[in-house]
Amino acid sequence: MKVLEVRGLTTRFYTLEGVVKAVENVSFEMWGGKTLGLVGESGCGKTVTALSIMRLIPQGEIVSGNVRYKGRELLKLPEGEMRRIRGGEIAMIFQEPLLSLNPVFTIGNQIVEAIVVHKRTSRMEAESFMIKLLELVGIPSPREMAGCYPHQLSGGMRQRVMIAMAISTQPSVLIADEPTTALDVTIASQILELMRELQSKFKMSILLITHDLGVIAEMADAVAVMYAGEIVECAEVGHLFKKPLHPYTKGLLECLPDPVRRETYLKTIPGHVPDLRNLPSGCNFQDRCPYAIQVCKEAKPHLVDVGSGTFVSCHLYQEEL
Amino acid sequence: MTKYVLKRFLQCIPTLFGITVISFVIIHIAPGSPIGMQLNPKTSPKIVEEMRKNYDLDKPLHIQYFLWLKKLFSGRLYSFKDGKPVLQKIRERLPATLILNITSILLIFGFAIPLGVFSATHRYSFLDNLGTLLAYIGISIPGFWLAYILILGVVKLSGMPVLGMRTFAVEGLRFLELALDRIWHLVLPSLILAIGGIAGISRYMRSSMLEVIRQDYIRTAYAKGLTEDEVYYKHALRNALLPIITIFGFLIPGLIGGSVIVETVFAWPGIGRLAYQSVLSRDYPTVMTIMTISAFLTLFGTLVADILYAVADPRIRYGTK
Repeated sequence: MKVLEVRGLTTRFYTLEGVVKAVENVSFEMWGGKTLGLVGESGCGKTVTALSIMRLIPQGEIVSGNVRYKGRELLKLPEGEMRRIRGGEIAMIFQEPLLSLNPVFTIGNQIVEAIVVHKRTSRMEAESFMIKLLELVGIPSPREMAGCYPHQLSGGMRQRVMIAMAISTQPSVLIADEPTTALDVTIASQILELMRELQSKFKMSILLITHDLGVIAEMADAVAVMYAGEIVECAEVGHLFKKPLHPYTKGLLECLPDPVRRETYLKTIPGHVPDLRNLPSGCNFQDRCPYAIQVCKEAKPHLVDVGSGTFVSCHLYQEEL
Repeated sequence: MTKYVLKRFLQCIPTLFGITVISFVIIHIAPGSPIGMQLNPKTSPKIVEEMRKNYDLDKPLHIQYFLWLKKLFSGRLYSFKDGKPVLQKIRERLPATLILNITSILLIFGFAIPLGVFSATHRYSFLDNLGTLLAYIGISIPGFWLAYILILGVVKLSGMPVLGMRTFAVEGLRFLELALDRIWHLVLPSLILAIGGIAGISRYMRSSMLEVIRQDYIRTAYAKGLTEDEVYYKHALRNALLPIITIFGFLIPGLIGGSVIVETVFAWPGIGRLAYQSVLSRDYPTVMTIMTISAFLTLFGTLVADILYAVADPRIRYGTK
């Protein structure tokens, strides 16, 4: 079942130095119980995409696009109804769990708050449910831990608390914005394992934002690759790793260090990400692309269906007009 | 915690000792002497010598210091000026100073915190800009000048005297009238005393609130589905108030030290004026005692602020582990 559909989402920030085109014409779909990975370098608009879905862009403006959640258009919803969606239907966890939890309230308090906002339960019931949630996400002796403040917990425990808070309302969609970036490798894989467990238990769709292709390979069913505010390639995870089409995706995969064949130089993609305030005409990737041709400087490529569920935005695959 | 407080308290003693020594030296180095202030220049040197002996001024400075200390703690310290016990003089002035300063502290926090929060939540709006303008005026305007202007205005408008703590030589008032008369006399001086504080601390509160609103946990609170008011007044306010506690500690010494200017302008019979008069007449015992009390309260104020800080911020725990 199609749970969330994003079409032509465009979000901009208006600064003194110009308009920042943070997210430009982004489209993707999320299916029930599946994980969509959103991958790209820092600053390519992954987080802004997620926050736009939640309509939490206080400094900027969602210029156009549609976000349809189970048939309802979120971008046109009155603020009061949108609040019921936030946390209730679409929950979110963040990169830095210490900064994402309020330092002056106990973790139990913060989870109970999330429950009470969306469910008509007494405080007592909410508290016993909160203990159950802490147990569910694997926090030892949850009754004592509930009285702890965020700074008293380890990074992994904090992220478990964030997850407990997010799933407290059994949302249909979980947006995980770099959930393991700030964690140790072993802790990170525990968190990913937990997310997978909870996903199959609650049939959640997960939008997994990361710059780590390893995490994508482990978790995602489908992948959308973002570059400079746009989606450049969208494919099933197997296809993407086996046969990447977009030059940027190819570059990303080549950058992964090979543990068997140690090379003298780590591969990188030459050049820099373009300034989002001052994007080139034509393809955003033209300056760094080894396959760039004349048309790349002149026209913007569009996302086209190249079969087997793969979409790519590159002139190399564009059909003749 | 108790251990920490006790330790901090004991640490205050050497600091306090140092402060009294320095003050003692400074006031004795200052030109002028208590004798010269009291006697006619034509008085015979013999009488001057006798008076110096009377006040122990003929002894070396360090002996004088210890004599002062001894007299202070045995309660036998008498003013040079009128021979009254110093502690009694201060006690007589204490209620007037306390009521004035407590009122102004209440005014400061009562106005500054809501004003600051409003400015932060309505950043760059017309009212916020107006608040900024008024705050700058409030900070820069000299209190004594504003006091005179207000006195002129009030007297012109109402014909009621505003000097002192009550209307002079009015007898046979009923309780309510008496209370109103007292309050009326309190309004202007406490307002003048508070205006700088309101202006300054409301700015402090504004920037503290703006700082907190940018934090990740505020985004988490929104993502939970809380309303703007819940986010501001529960999650943001509690964090934004933490730095304000420090300022509260700084205001405590003012409770007793009083304000020389406001008390002088309004003929308020408080400790600030007593200190000023004592300095003018080189009444060493009174000056020294008031200075010691102020120094003690300053140290006490920072200690109270530190304790309040630990109570309000769970990340700060003194003395544990």
